[in-house]
Amino acid sequence: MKTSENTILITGAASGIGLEIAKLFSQKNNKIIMADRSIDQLKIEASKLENAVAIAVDLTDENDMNKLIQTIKLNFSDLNIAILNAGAANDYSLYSTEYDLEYAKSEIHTNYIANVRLTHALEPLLSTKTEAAFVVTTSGLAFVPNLNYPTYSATKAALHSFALASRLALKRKGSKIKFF
Amino acid sequence: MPPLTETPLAKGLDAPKITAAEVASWFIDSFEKDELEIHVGDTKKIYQLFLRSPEEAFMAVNP
Repeated sequence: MKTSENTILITGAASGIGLEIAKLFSQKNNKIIMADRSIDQLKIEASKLENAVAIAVDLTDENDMNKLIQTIKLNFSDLNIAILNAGAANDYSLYSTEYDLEYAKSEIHTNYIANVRLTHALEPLLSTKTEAAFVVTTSGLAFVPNLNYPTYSATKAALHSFALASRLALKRKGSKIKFF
Repeated sequence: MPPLTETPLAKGLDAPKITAAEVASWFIDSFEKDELEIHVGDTKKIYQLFLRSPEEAFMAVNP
């Protein structure tokens, strides 16, 4: 994939790996759409970068997701790369007093369901581009779970499985979209 | 597929971590070369170990 002159969506762009990827791509002459639920921090970081805009989105909120997809279709139809990097992680022990079903629900929504939804919503738009890519951030914990992050590990295994399936499904469909 | 990384997500784990900037840089190099599955840093080791012995890999991340 070319690393300049792209229009790139990055979720989870206010901190961590998403922010660092945004910085590097910004230096390489790309247009960056930075999305995160931490809007104050996101605006500060986006203001430091060239060619970057900030969009507030909570990936567990259906209305927010619809708004994000509509905004991209209306205002950023030149989008050709979607880096779906946002992640939630809860540090807790299974079968202890720390267990809470809400951890599983929030992590599976942010780390898995939101990405399945976004890839399907954006695939028609990306399929019109000469060079296009989806990128999902999984983890070494997709191979084996870490007991401190049990649900996080499970969601990354699910997302890795989805990446493999998407890669082959897009290929068989004759799509030029690359799935990283 | 990053390993344990210095980010707000991993603040609960006290273990050696790669920086987010290193992960980003590794990703962009691999992205440019069309390497679709990117095993960053220690993920490469975990994957190799997993191929050899899933049980050993499981114990290695849960010492």
